Amino acid sequence: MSVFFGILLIYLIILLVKAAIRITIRLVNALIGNSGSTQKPISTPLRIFLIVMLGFSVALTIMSLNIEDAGYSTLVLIPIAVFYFPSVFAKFSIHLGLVNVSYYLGKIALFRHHKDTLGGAIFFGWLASNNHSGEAHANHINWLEKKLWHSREPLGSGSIVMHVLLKQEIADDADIYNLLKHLRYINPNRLPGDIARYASRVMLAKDLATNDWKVIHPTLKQWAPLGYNPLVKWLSNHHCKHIEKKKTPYIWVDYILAGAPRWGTHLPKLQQVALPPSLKNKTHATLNAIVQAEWWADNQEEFNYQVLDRQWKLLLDSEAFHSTTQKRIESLGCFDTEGAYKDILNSIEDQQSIRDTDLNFENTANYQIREGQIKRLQIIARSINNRQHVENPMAAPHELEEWLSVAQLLKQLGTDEHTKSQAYHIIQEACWNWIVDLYKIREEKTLVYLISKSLYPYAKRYGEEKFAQMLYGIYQGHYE
Amino acid sequence: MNPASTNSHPTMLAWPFWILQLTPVASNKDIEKAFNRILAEITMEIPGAEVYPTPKGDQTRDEFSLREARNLLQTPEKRALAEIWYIAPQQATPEKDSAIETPDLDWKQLLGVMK
Repeated sequence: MSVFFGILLIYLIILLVKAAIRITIRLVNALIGNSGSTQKPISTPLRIFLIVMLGFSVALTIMSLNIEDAGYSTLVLIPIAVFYFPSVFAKFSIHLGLVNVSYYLGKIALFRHHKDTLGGAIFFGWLASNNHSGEAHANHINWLEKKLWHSREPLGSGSIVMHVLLKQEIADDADIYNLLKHLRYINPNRLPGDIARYASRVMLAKDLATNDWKVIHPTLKQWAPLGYNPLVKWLSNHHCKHIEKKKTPYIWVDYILAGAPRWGTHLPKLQQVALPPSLKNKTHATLNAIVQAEWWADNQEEFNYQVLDRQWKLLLDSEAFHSTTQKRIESLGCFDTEGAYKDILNSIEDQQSIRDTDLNFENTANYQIREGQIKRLQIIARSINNRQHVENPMAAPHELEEWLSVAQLLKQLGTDEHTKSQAYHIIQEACWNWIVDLYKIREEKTLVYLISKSLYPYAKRYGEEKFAQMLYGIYQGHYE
Repeated sequence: MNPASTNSHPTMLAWPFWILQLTPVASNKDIEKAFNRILAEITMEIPGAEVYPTPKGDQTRDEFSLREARNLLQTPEKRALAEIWYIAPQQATPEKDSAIETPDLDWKQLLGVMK
């Protein structure tokens, strides 16, 4: 018993020391005139939690002095222990697949999830649900979704990420990956660390399979500022060391903190370049290398043919190619040598124009797709406009869904400058009112943070200074 | 069927070499020899004789396409064009750079990602 109360005392002392450090930092900041732009306000759930814990600890400490007289039983201490260490108990409940228990333990694990208790609770519940399969699993997911959709709390960043992760049951990996990519500008102050770490792993699992730093690096850049993430830190340092060739003397520390993964040896050490293998390290490629590259490029999903056109031009402009080909034509016994040479040049030109035409055909198809996407964006903008100031607003996850659709369409329509600008101007006005409504009336500040920070680069790019200023003010926390 | 008839890309102009399994250094004598050998194999129904490799994968050949290929390679202007666009079938799928070879790992499992 006394050991238990000893632990509680230590716990209380740690809490008090932490609080003292925080107060000292604030005092120093105030004294040196730094109003503390980096200060993070303590969230309401954490404040309540700290007060309750403090009260609890004081009461228990006083009682522990008379422990022998009080005659506590273990049964009385268990709920107290659960209250103090919910994450420890959650590990067992997750392992046992107890979704409801894990959910509620996640809800009171405020030290871990104070940034977003609902998101944290759903995360624990979701981890536990993965121990089930079939109908039971589907029922648990439905239950968790209901919890998310019917919650009265405004959405936190953790809930937003979990909203996407819960879709894993119905969406494929690529869809989840793309949706997570749209959460790049999520508010890190409302994102529990374990959710961020898990979501980053979901994306990295897909990226690492490509073995290409060009794909992996943007994901690292997305998750690095979103809280403590040893795996992302270690991979970022790995990139620094092997690709950027910078000194990283403490990379081994990051490696250990990341759990010393054995697969570390399989990480790519080179950045793959978008060049056909036959043209690599060649300023003047041979005819055979260029033809090989044409075949290689034909199998690529995306390829910048300018590289190949440049090589063709260099080859055709070279005197060596001209003379060698002419000699060969003569040795073959062609009657019209100039005509045969011209046929060769025409075939090369044909190859270039045929693949350009292929691209144009693709562009025609794209044009129709683009028209459809523009129409969809217009419908969403109208829908957002129409539901301003309605009596029964839609659930916050629905608003999030709407934003994810907008973000997806903005990305898809960002292929050329004209369409990008057109797409942005379709939604700008609707988004302006939407943001104000969500921020002032609905108080969905984390969702608004995500929307504002995502739209800010567009507003700046297209010279919408007033709108940009408002967006900046929102995600910088200038408006209360 | 010759592959050029199904694809108008000039990269396919080298098909007579692929169908006769020859390279641009082949002489007229080599062309005749290859034609007769492959034709005899097809006639005797030797397994695999109708199949030949191209950069687009394996294709099938018949007497008609063999004759067309031989005639094209014996026409200097057509042969010059075929030589320009010739690559060995295996050159179209280059070997992977060993340094950037994609390891066959289950990253989801390694990173503890659930589905």
